[in-house]
Parts: sequence; structure tokens; C-alpha cells
Amino acid sequence: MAYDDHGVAALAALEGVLQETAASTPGSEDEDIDGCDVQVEVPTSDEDLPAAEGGVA
Amino acid sequence: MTFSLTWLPQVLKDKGLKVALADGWESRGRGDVGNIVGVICHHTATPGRSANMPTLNTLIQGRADLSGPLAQLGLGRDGTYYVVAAGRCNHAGTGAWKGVTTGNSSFIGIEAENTGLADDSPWPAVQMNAYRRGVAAILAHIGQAADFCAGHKEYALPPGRKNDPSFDMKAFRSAVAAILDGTAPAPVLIPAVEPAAQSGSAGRPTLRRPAMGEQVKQAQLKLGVVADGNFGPKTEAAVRAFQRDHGLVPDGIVGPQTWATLDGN
Repeated sequence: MAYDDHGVAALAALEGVLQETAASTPGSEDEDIDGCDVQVEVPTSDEDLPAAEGGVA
Repeated sequence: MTFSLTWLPQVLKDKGLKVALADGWESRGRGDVGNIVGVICHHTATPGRSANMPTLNTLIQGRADLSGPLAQLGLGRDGTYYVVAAGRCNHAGTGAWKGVTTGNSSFIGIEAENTGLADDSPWPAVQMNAYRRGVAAILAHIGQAADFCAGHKEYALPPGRKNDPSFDMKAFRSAVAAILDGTAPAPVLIPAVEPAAQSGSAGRPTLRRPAMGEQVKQAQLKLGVVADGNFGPKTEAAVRAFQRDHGLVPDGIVGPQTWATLDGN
């Protein structure tokens, strides 16, 4: 199938929409991604932690 | 774009939990979540026990081979919840719990700071207490019972793929159920002011970021840091270090126990 310039642009836009949808749709292949066992490369120091509100301790 | 889990901080704070927001958390996620049905508990497995939440930036940004966010919530050793993302996160992977197989879309992930090794067991009481109460708060908000809290080691497939968290999940769910039922003891709050008798004069206020003033200066002098009267991140880090060195809960808050220990230092 051949496309003119408008057709190619429209197809690219559609692919973008489909990719965005895939990244936010339950049941997509992203469900298999497991980032646990976090493997810290640069630890966050206590001085760089955001301030906390509330709490008992 | 703001994602769906913007209710998380208030739900936790309403139950007396300590909450810190990571910049940009409302619009952070791998797209949005689906229908949230429960919570998956993790531990970070990050080596070392000297910092409160050394994994925070990695939870936010991910790592070289995997982009973040890696969980909606981080749980520090002092029981602080760090809110990382309001959208979907890469925390669960392949698995199933109660017939739900879309872990990243359907479960909120909590990564609690712990090495996962014998050197970090038992977990700090303040952290475990916050873990149970935070999970209970989330489940109550979404209208689910304690059995919709799973350990990653229970959710992950094939069986044995994961070993986190390192504590017993059945006992954890029982404790969460007791909180949901209202049968668990209420948490003990840190008083806002030191008891007068303890110092012999008017009680000193409990200090934390972003307190300012003469009392902050007094605490800074005792800590040996720049006494500028501003309780900022450097002072908080110094308080945590002092508390760790003296067997106190390293929460970065100068309450009655920390005041008394500073007096005797």
C-alpha cells in the first residue's frame, strides 16, 4: 500500500497514539516488567530527601 | 497530565502517617493505572542500613536498563512514605493474586527500604508499624479487605521468582486486618512539646523541617552543625545521624527523647 505525505503523517500520528495507549492499557506487555530488586547505582543521601509532613515518628 | 492516584498522600496522612512528596509525583507514571484492587509489598534489597531511603531516586528515575517509576511509594526506615508516582509503575512483573494478573496496572506498589538479608531483620518497629497502617489505609480507601494485600513473593510467577518482602505475609495481613477492624492499638503520637518536668523549665517544642528560631539554634549547637536557626535538610540529616548513634528512632525529628539525649551528650 502506498501513502501520500498526508497519509504518512496520519499513519505516524496513529502509531504514536497506539504506543501511548499500549503504555497505559492494563494487560499490555508492560505488565511483564518487574523493576523490583531495584539495584541502586547512586544512593539518595538523607540530605537529599524531601521534607515530610504529618506522622508520629 | 495528572494521573489517578493523587489521593495517596492525604489517605496516608489522615491515618497519622508521615508523608513526603517527590517533586513531580502527580504526573509521574508509565501511563495511568487501571482499576486498583490492592497493594503489593516489596523490599528494595538495597545494601547498607545507614540511610533512610537510599533507593528513592532510583524508584523515581529507574536504572540504566529500565525506566522508572518503579513503585508508587517508597517506605523509609523511619516509617516515612515517599510518594513517587500517581500513575502506573514497573513493580510487579508477571504474576497473579486473587485472579488478577495485571500487577502493574491493578496494584499499588510499596518498596520498603530493607536489605532483605539477615543483617536487616527484624525490621525497625517504626517502619513495620507504618507499613501495616499504610497498607490498611489504602485498602480501606479502595474498599478492599486485608487479603488484597500480597507480598511480591506471593504474586510473582513462576513461584520462587521473587523473595520479597522478607517478613511473613500471613502475619502481616492479620495485623492489617486488625487495623481495618479497629482492634489494633492506636499509635503513640510524639508530643508537640517536651514535658516540662523533663527539662526543669518550660517544655521545648518538637522540632522538624522547616522549623526556625532560637530553639533550632540550640539543637544545632548541641548537634555540632552550623547554628543558623533554620531546620533544613542538613540539620535533619545531622539529627538522623545523631539518633542512629544513640539508639533512637532515626526520624530526623527533635522530640522529647532526642532533646533529652542531646542534653546528656
